[in-house]
Amino acid sequence: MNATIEDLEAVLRGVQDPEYPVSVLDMGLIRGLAVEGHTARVRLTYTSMGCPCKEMIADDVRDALLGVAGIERVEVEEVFEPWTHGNLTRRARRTLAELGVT
Amino acid sequence: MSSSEADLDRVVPAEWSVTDDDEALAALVNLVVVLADNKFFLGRRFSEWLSGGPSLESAVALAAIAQEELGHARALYPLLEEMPLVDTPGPLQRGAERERKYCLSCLGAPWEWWADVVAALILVDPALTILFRALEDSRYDDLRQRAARVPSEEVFHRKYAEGRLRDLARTEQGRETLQRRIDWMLPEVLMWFGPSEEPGVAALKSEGLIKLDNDEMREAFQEDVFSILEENGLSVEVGELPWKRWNSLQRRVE
Repeated sequence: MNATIEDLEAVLRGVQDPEYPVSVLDMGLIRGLAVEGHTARVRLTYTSMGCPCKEMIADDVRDALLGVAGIERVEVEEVFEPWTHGNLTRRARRTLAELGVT
Repeated sequence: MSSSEADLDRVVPAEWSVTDDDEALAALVNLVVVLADNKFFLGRRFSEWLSGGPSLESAVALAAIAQEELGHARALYPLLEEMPLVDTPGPLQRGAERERKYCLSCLGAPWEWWADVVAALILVDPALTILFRALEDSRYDDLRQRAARVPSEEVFHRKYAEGRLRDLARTEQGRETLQRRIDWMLPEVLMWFGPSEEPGVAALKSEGLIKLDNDEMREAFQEDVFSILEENGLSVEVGELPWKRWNSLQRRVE
């Protein structure tokens, strides 16, 4: 059985940003997901083009998706789309506020 | 179809098809390496001042700026590998070296004074941003995506630059020191956009790869930064530009 987008989203909720206890989904870094056969495709952006954790985040995303039943290959594309605070979910904003990050 | 043909279909990458114009391609390679090298050395020069700024706050902010400049360079270097030109310059990152550098001469060696940092923040960084803005509608998608993001990050660099400029220009001594560094950097920055009617840039423009020519970019830069300099008592008079010392390949004054 092929994996679904919902399957991918479910595991990505467990992939945290390296700096904050917020998932990459809630951080607004995931700009697109697709499943084609046994391949998962991810469009990924970062909070800054100078983010020193780019490889770490991409590796975490790739490793998580390879753990989804039916996924054998993951293609991660960096899309350079702008990121602003408006891309944070309410859950992420609440968590960051609790940490004193506003 | 045999299995070997099927494998071939799968592994042969799509042809790079941004332009068939050799002059435009050569100019595009040069443009990317020039942008990347200038970002790289700007980041390096800033990083050398992380413990030398006038305050802890200025050092922390400069660290973030340096990191972003290096990030911009790092985003550009992979483009050199995909463009189909023989002997494209290699990336300057992860310890790699290259004899020929495509950065402004004023970025070529460590700076002696904090005023150099401030002058580069208000002159070099905005000049590079003007060129990124000219690429925001480029037909070369991979470059356009990167160019469209850089100016949004540069907004914060500019706020910091203007604050440090005002701090330094507040006293007569600071203003005089900064004026000397501006007198050194400004002519080269103005020339960095290149001479009028440069053939390679004309080819880029006609191919839809850049939207402004050299004079238009230079004018946009002057409109962008001259007023803030003059408001702070700084002169932007440069006299005749030394085009005889202009290196058009590395885009720098020798």
